[in-house]
Amino acid sequence: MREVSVIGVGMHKFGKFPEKGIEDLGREACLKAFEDSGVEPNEIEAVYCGLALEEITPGQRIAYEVGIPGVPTYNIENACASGSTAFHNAWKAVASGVHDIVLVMGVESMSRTISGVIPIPPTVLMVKMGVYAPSLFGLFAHRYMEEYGATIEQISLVSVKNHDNGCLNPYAQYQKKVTLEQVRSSRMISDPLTLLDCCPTGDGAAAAIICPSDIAKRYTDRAIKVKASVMVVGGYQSDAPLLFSYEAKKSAGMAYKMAKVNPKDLDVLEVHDCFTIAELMWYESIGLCERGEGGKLIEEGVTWLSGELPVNPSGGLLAKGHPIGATGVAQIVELVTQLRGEAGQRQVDDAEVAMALNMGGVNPGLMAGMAGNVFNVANTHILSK
Amino acid sequence: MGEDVVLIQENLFEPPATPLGKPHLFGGKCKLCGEILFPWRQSCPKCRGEVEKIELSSKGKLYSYTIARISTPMFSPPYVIGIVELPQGIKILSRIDVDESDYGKLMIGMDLELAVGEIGLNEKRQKVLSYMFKPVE
Repeated sequence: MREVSVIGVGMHKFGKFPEKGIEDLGREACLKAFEDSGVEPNEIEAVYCGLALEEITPGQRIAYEVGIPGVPTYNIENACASGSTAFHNAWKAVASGVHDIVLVMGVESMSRTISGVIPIPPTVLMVKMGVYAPSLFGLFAHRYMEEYGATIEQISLVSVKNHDNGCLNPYAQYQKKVTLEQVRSSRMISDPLTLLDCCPTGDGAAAAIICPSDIAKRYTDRAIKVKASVMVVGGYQSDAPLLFSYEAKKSAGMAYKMAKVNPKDLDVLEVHDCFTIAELMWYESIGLCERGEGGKLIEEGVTWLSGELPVNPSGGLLAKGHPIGATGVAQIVELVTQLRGEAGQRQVDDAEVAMALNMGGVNPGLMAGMAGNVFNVANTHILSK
Repeated sequence: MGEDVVLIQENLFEPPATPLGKPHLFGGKCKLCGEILFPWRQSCPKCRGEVEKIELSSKGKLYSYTIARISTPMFSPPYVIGIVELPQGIKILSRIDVDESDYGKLMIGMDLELAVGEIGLNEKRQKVLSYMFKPVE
């Protein structure tokens, strides 16, 4: 396998852009990635595009807009993990020697495809019963508080932290601070989670251009190495725990091994904070702290921008936004920006090793009515200078 | 018009046969490895064995709960969703039948019993009848 580097990144701001189609969103992100890398559209050998909702052939439609001549194009749906699944596949194609220069993008226009909560097929028992994503995480939050003695204030601090960070990210959907009191007093969505405990829906796009590390210098002296790219999908598991993800644990564990690092070596992370409680659950699953210690980790300031191990400096899904298919690629864009030292006011000092965890795909057992861990896709990427 | 009432899903539960009768909740047990499954399904996801339909307990404990407050075309909020731990060792999603005035009494670990009731509408605008659990009086 060849080592792979990211040589260019680009984003379309996340937010509400009902007037724009996926072509408009994707075009801007891809053109920025071309400009950033110095790669010309006719050098692209393959395109991987993550998108989750109600569109067809988004990759070709955007490639057409930016002048990429017809090349193999893969459109990848894997729910909230679509973007990182696209990146993982692109990485595989380059690492294995099939292609040299590949464009990865993630895009979503939720303003045009949905209203309200993220849709899960109406045929599954969970949805027939009226259980949507915020209620799943409401169930987890109550159990987390009961089992570990955590407080709702600890859980909601995740939203305060990530909104603080979002203020420093020009690409974030929300660039406004919120106080703990504001999070707690915002509209209740599914007890104990309020509106500000939940990520918003929105529109946006992110893009990255990758190539083998040994030719990266032809294009840029700001290349960032992909030290690990791991995808884990869970299957049936008896009595799967609710508050801990074995998929995330396994995915991060394989990535640490592949990159020859351990959690203590990480300088900055982007993790899948679709709801405040989720960020704490993933802290524990990927080994940033012991089980049940997530609340303490955030309360003690460890994962804040000024802390020892900043998590979601971009604002995360809670403040940067979560246009589903774009999220996994946007995490990579943020980490590349951090590792290059180009993150401006939200720059993490001396960032050398960074990790992204993108989760998605409601566990099929849970969709059918049996309670267990929530997501069954856990994609981990570790990047370094 | 609008009198249609349909079961939320086949092979899941049986409403009481008489006004004083009891509802029944069903799951599956693998004939090969003994895994208890919910809901019943044709083959065991653990070992691919054939699964027999079994009756699950009508008593359980509240493992966690949430109160859904999002308006959708199918359901009128607020309504309570729970995870119910059954003596068979499995945890299932269920509606919890509690009056809004009693939401304050919801407590993890509380004893629950099986019930049946209407929970909302399906996409054809038919009333949907589901199993649910309610606090033991």
